[in-house]
Amino acid sequence: MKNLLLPLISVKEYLNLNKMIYPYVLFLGIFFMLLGWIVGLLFAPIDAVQGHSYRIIYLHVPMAIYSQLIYWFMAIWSFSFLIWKIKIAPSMILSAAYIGCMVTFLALLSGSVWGIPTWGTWWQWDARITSTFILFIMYLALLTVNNSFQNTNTADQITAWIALVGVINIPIIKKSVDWWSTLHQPASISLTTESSIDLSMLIPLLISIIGVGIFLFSLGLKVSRWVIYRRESD
Amino acid sequence: MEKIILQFHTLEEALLMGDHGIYVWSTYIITGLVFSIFSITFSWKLRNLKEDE
Repeated sequence: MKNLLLPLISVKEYLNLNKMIYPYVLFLGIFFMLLGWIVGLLFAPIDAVQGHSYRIIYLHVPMAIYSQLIYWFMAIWSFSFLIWKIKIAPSMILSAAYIGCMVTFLALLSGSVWGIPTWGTWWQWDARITSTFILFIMYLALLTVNNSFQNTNTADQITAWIALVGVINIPIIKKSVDWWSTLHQPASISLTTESSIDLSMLIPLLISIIGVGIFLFSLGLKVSRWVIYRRESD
Repeated sequence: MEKIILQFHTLEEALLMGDHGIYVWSTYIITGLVFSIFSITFSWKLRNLKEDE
């Protein structure tokens, strides 16, 4: 058990594991991401209401899911840093913030483009879009604050607190389509209830979600390596 | 469950996707570009750090 947990605690062990698995994770991520997208774009049946524009779902949904999951990941590391002072935690928080910022931007962008043919507008200040926009601002604020302090310890403490406080926004994003009347549709897939989309559309969506997740993990490995080296060189 | 089969008979059909091709393809192309730029930037940053060392 101790051997399994060592890469999470020891920076040296983490870097060794990181370098070892990176090429395999990258390859797997690109393979499944492209597979999901190709099947979704060219082979999944057309949607009766939205036509072909619904095919943006294979990009938009994975981005939306990971924009929130990455924040949870960051919040857990923040908690572990503030309570147990785990040395590697600040590097993990910062790496996740870079990826999360990009992913949230892509979720907003793909949603906006999807909105043009579907809603007739690319932006609406409804609850789901606004709360996701706040998430994007949170990621940006976290990165800005972390880079604006000379003292690394102070920067790490403040970053961890911002990440923890900001986590309150995640359930709001998730529940916004249920709590308020929004232009954004309710979730099409759920872990607890039956999905509202046909299996022929759901299969490529699940492959896309898995592929994008593995690919983002590979990016996370690369970014965290850079963050750790940079912090060591400072 | 509907069949998962190729939905387009020509390249033109696949590109146009009715009137929606511009929205769909542009979203995927921009995402691919963002991923590539992000990945290249951090590879470059990593290389620079190693050279400095």
